[in-house]
Amino acid sequence: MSDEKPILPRIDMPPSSASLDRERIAQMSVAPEPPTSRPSLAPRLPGVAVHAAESTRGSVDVLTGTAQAVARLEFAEVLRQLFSIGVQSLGFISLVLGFVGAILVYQAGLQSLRIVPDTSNVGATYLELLVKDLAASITGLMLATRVGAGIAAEIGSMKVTDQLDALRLCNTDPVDYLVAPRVVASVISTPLLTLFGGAVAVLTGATTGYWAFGINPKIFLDPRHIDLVDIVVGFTKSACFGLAIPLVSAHAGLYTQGGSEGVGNATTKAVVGSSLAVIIMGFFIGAVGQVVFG
Amino acid sequence: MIEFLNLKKAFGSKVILDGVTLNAENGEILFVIGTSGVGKSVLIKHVVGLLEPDSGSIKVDGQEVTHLSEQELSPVRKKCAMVFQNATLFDSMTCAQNVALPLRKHARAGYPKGMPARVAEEFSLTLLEKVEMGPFAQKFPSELGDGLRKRVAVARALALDPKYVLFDEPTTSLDPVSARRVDSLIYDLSRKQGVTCIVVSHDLRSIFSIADRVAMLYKGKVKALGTPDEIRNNPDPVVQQFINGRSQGPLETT
Repeated sequence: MSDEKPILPRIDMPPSSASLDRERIAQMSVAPEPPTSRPSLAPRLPGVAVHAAESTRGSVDVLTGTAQAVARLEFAEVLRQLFSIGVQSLGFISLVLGFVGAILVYQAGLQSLRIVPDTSNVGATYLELLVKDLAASITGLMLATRVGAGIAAEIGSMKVTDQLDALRLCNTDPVDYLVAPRVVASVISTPLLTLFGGAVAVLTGATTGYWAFGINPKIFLDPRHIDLVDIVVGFTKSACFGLAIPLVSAHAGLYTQGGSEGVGNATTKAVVGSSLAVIIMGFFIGAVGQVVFG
Repeated sequence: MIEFLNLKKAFGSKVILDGVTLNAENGEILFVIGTSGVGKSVLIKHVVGLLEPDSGSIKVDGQEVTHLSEQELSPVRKKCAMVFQNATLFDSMTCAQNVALPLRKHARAGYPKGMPARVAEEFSLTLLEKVEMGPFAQKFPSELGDGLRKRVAVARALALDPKYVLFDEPTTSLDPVSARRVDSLIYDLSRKQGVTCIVVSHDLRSIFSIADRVAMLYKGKVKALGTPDEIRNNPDPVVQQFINGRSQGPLETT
């Protein structure tokens, strides 16, 4: 990295002002005064909204920095993150989606028998739900816990132990080095994990349908409700979740204050924020897909 | 030379530095002493742009370094290395990779975009040998004790042949033997390589064994400045209480 390289707007600081950025970092090093009494929920609600807005704005700042850093990505670091985020999540995602698939098909079968009673539509409906939303959302939520928590804890620990400052002294922007490779790896990994987890869920769903209700797998694996739009919506969701989770989590890590308690708080914020992002983005992407494509 | 001129810094309502004026002459070992929380670390973090002052000036070789952008700070950080209080090595990297990072990221002669990773890691072995850490090159920081980690941090700080090295409590948490080895490293840096060292410390043994000059910070200002002998003979009761480590006296802690 030469001296001529454009230095990114720093993300652990307000955008567009390096001096203000350093000021905010400095203020972060001063421990906040403890609250004198526990506030009631009602007055806290606006605070929650403000926090959500700040988190969103901060995540957009991280996104801006990441977009600028992509040209300077270190390929080896992206590969390392692909292994950490993608390969090492395979077992976890498969296990969760496998069980979710089995539970869902079993419950759907019971309800169908009670109402219709006919289970011939269970497979087709289940596959539609899986492709449009369930595979992407469950994968996203699980990655929010596994990957989001890991990113926030690692970057947060580096923040409270001055490692981010040490990076800056090594002429290395923390966003370049820590955030951008994770974002790229997550955007690549999440749709692939969704695809793999979805396949496992199909398999466990079909198996459950056969053993619990005697549904012929050929009837169960009926794709008549799935069209191209469903596939596009499902993959759009998973790619967006793959983008949002590391951004929200990295933002929580970069803003960590205090010691181990601060790292714990950052991790909690990352998991809660990433999970909310998955749910809310999933809702809006689904709604837009429905409105635009019918 | 590093010059601090009427430097002021407050965090919220808490004033930390209230007009610090101080020079670090070329090649000297300047100790900045004072009680915990008095602003010693805050002072040296201003030099490399990790903090920005409310007012006042800092000049490195005559160049004003306050209010510089991250990009403008790059050459300043190249000639002013810093060793943090807790060594602050990168946990996910081996010792060699830690020392190689500044070599990879800073432009230098023959390598306008920084050294390639393999070349930098080979070069880092030489630096680790200098601080007697060669055999630990492939170890991770978590596998080393405090004293060894500090040595690796010193090797990383020396990677770019800095003109100035800022040490933030280099002997804190070290056993007496490791502490004296670090003192010896700092002394050699100054005497053999002409590196200017600013050392933040309250290790009295270090202060009175290797310092050329000592500045004591108190209530945001320089309370006393002089050679170790001048500080030892300073009649101010606050200075005397601090250097003698007495629990009773006029010295107020923050």
